[in-house]
Amino acid sequence: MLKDLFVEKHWESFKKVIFYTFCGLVCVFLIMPNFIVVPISFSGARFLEFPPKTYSWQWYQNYFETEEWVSATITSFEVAILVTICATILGSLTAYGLVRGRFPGKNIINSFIISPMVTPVLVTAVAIYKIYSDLGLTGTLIGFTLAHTIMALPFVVIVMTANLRGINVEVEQAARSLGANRITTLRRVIFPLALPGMIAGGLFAFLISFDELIIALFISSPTLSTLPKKLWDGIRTEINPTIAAVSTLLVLLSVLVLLGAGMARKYFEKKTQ
Amino acid sequence: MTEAITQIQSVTMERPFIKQLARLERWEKITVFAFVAPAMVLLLSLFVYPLIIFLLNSVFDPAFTIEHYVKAFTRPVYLRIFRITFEASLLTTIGALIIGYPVAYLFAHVSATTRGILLPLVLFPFWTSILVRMYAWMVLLGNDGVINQLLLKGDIISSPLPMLFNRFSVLVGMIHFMLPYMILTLYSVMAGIPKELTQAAASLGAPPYKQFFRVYLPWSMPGVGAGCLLVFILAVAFFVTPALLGGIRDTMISQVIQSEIEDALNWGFGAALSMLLMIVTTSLYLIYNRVMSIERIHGG
Amino acid sequence: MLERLSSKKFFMIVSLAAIFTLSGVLSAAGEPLTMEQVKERLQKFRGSSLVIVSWGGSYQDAQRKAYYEPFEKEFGIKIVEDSPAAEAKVMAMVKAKNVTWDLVDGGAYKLGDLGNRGFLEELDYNIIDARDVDPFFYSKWYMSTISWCELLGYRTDAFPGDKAPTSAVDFWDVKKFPGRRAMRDNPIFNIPLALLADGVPKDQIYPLTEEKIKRAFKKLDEVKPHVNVWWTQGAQPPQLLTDNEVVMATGWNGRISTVAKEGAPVAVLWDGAQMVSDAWYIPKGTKNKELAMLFIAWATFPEINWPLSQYIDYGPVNNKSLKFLSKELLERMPLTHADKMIKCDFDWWSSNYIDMLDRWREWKLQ
Repeated sequence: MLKDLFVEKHWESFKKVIFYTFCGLVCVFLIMPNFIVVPISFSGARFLEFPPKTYSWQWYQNYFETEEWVSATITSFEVAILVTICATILGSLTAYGLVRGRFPGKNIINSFIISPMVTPVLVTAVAIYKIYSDLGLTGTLIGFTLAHTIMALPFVVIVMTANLRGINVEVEQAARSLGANRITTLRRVIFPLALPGMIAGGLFAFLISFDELIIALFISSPTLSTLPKKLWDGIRTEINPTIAAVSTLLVLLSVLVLLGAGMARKYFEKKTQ
Repeated sequence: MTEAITQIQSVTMERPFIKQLARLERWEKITVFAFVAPAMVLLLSLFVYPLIIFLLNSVFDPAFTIEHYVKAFTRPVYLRIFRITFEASLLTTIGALIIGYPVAYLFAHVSATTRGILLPLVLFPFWTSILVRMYAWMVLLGNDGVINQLLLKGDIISSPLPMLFNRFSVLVGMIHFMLPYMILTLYSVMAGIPKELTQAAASLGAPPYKQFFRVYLPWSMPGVGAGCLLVFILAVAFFVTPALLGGIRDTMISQVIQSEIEDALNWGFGAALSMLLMIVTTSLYLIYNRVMSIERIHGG
Repeated sequence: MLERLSSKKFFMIVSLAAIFTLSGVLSAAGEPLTMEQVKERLQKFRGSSLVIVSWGGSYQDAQRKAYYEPFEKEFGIKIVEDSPAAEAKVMAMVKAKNVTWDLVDGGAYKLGDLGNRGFLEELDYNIIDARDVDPFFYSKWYMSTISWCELLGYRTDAFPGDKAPTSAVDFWDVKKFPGRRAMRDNPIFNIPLALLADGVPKDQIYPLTEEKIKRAFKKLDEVKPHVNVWWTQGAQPPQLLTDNEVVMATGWNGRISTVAKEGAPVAVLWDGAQMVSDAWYIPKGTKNKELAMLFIAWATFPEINWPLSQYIDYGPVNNKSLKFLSKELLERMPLTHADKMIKCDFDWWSSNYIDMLDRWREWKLQ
């Protein structure tokens, strides 16, 4: 009996060890590939070497001195910022309409707005490519912005719908009953409450645009292409660590965005308290 | 219906002005449709319309024909590519579920602070460019890659293991990509499972495995269903991972569509394959919507 | 006797006369424009512009230096550049009857089919002087601008000196030439290469018959397990070779010779290469058809056709261009080695490309 209990107790802790080890390994699996590029980007060798024997900045230098990389990066930032603005505004309005409105076919519209997320991106990309060819929108800033806005919209709508559901209708009704019209209510009451959600949705939109590859593969031109498109070409053609340097910078960007999001959330939590 | 009317009548009789207010409110609720309109216009003009135009190519290239669909179903290679696509997606889904379930469970059962630390770990790959991750896997798994170099240095193997450009590397890349989606979906459902349930089962003397299989697992099934559907929908449309990490036998359907459009200039057949792929993803998405709404009812 | 002689004489006179008049007619109709005439005709376009579309990158840079800048300067016609020259986009434009591209650069093996399907304008060889160009390089739908070839490249340190591979057979011989290999994920060069390796003489590879295609796929089965990378972009083979990722690869001559020039231990094998080309073509319905035609005529003259080779490792198509090239440059030009090569049958590929891609996918998945 006592022995059984002993075994059982150890078995229990043994199971716990296995469970935690497993979860730990999964976390390593999730995280490690994002950081493996960091040491390689500082390698002194032209070829893949791990761990690097010598270290240098040359691949970062190469990145900053290659016009194509720099212009692709600038384009990506331009597009992503425009997309953030467009998608956040459009997505927030849509979410507001969906949460507050009561009209026939609302659920269908909801599913419809989300559909770019679940439509095979390649099919979307080809369709957009065809229409853009007719309209002369390939290789233009506005073309990229519109296409990426469509891709980012579902994410903003999802985030904003959750956010607006959390805002009590009574707050709004109270404002209305005090004589404020809808626009004033939106601006003075809803907007401040929805701001954290809009920031989160905007970050989503920014990163989705910044990382978007498949549409860029079709609508890029040699004079205007985004960073993921350039990275795609690079990964297939050059094994030298410039790619690792660019990847490291992208990882850094993700870290910054996540930190920014966390800080924004803390700030708003404090404010609401 | 008559019941409703009498109800309304009784209300209006009690408070005569409320009828007017109700009408006003209804009108306002329709006007909010104006908020949805801009996004609808954008989607209809630059998403739905182009999609229809493109997909119509599958039956009108150049004149009405069903040859492209006939080809898709009669040339065995295309059915095979669909099979490879579904197989890889299914394995990805299962892999992500097996790996993701315990982690989601952990998420749902730790303190909020611990979760706050763990969440970025899961979210981080979600926020990193897919190209960076695929490049990382190429660097890790290649013949001269990190893992092989370390194993060779440690004299564990004598010649490099073939880990890149085959089914293995495709699955690793795809599971890695899908895990955050799976974990977050599972967690969202598990967080809603009352803790008292398993405690009750335990107090009734059920052994741990029974508590889990009889109580916890059934309650988490909506999450499993939703997570699996989401991962599968995203996986069948994958292009980047098989293109970068796959070998010669891992061609997936998106790659064929791309090559039909850009290389073979065969819009009709490319559109037919796209249509078939769309039918699969759309029907799964409709099921997903149902599962999620069931889950919502279930959860609250 | 006399009678017979005279009839013979009569016949001779008649036939001579016939030949004379015929050639006279021919030269009247078929004598293409001279350089002077082309230049004269271009004068009337002074002040207008021409949209030329190519593939961007260093190739388009070279085209700008070799063609566009001299052309703009001499004739006062503005060249508007665009890229990439995706054929899919040409098709979309022609279908929408909204053609904004006047002149496009594309792989010759795709153009015959595009022309037959009504997407291209016919070229006028009364304007373009193609007499010093191998008929292989032009048709009524296109006129080549550069010659290049797909060939075998290998690492010189893996197979030094007399151990170097000498033919397609050696690509298949994994015992004598051990090491990883790379091939293009496309049938266009792999099929002829396999036939060559299987003993078909290089001038009997085309036309491809069903029997030959089957034979080629069977031969490809042998090498399939030894091919580690199936590349899709021209920049991959030189990279794979310099990084020692593979020891032998099929690739494009200019790409591989560029890294060889830069000092990588890599060499190309002209024997058994397949000659292909990039060609000018005019999308159906452009408003500047005549100007585009004159540009092609101008760019095909040997004096204009050769300088591109100074900027990028692609060869001219006009045989008379070769005399302008330095000895060192000559060695790197495909046209110099034309007698060792297979001449790609562009028309066969353009009409069978879709079917061959289906079969290639079938073979890949086997």
